[in-house]
Parts: sequence; structure tokens; C-alpha cells
Amino acid sequence: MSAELDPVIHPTHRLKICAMLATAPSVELSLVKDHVGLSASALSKQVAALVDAGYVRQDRTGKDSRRVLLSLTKDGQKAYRRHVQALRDIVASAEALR
Amino acid sequence: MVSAMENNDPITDPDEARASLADIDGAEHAVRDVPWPIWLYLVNAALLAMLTVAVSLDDRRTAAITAIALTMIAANYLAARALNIPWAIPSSRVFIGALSVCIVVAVGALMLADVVDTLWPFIALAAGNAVIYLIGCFHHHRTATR
Repeated sequence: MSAELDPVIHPTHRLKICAMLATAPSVELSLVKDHVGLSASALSKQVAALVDAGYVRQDRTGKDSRRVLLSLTKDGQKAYRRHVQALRDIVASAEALR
Repeated sequence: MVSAMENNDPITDPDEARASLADIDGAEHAVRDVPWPIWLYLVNAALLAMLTVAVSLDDRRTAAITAIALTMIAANYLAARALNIPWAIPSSRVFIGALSVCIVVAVGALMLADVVDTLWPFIALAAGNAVIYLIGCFHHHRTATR
């Protein structure tokens, strides 16, 4: 059974966010913002969508509440892996037809 | 520009899938290859060399190794926290390879300590370990700043 694309993760910026979070236990929001290239408010909306879907967790670190750490939940990790596999399947199918 | 558009329909086009996979690679690079400060490379190299010599101690070997290892962990943890460097495996295979060799050399030095009484082999291994590590660091820095 082939994996399916996840409509929550699919949009480009959310995919980039998930890809960053899949690479480390947690990533600072400022680093995500620098790479994704969105304004703070636009990034906040994208992150909120992922949090609402249960894919991302947002934590403020102890003493300095300005630091926000993002991490993928277990559901988020599974959904992201399925989505990446679906992308690879699409590419592999196209190359098999050549 | 496709990447600037937010398309909520799941794609089936192979070219778009390839572009998404390229975006993923770029995002992973952004996390794996955050540049480290130069001083961190040098501190780690020095601590690694000290660790390689410390295994040759008779009396206080365990305490020395523990102290150096904890210092290394603390230095890297504090640097990562202060500079927003995520805990991620760097993508530079040369760096990973160099680090692996350094670990093997350190373990080898530990085994050598049971059969060798003189200090100079451990100093030589420590110097070699520091050089190998710094070669890896050079490649890591180059990967991180490209």
C-alpha cells in the first residue's frame, strides 16, 4: 500500500518546517523563521496549523520565555515520514515509466 | 514561483514532488549545518587530546576521563543553547568519519594504557586525534558556510 500525501504537511512552508523539525529533537523558532523566510505572523499561522493538527509541539524555555522551541510530536513524525515516502513514490513511479 | 504559492491540493506531478524533496534537503541542511563558532572546534580538539592522554594515567584515570568528558558535554551544551545550534548530526561525512576515527583512537589508547608505561605514545595519539578532528571540523565549517 503506497503512502499518501498529507494535506496538512503538503504546503511548501509547512513541509519545510516539518523537515527542519524532523532533523533535531527541537529547533528554535528563530532558526525556522530564518530558513523558511516568512514574517513572524505568517510563520505563526503555519506553525499554528501544524500544532492544531497535533503534529508540532511548541514550548517556551524556562527562564527566557522569548525562546520558543518547536518539535515534532510522534504523530507528526509518522505523518511527515509518510508524506516524504509518498513524494518519493511519485518520483519513483515517474522514473519507472521512462 | 511555485514555492511562493500555498497550494493546498496534494500534488501528483513528479516535478513538483522533486521540488518538494529538494526543499526538504535544503531544510535539513539548514538544521544540520548551522555554523559552529571557531572556538568550539578548538576547545573540542583540545579536550579530545586531553582525553586521549588522560587514559594513560594510573591513579586518577577514571576521575580525569569523567571530568574531561563532562567538560566537553557542558561546553557543547552551553554553546548550542547560547547560539541556537540544534542538536543534529552534521551532514558532512568527512566530519562524521573524522569523529569516528577519533573515538576509535581514544578507545585504542585506553587499551594501550594496559600494556605501555611511557607517556609519549599517548601524546602522539592525542596530537593525531586533535589533527584528525580539526580536519573534520574544517569540512564541517565549509559545509555549514556554503
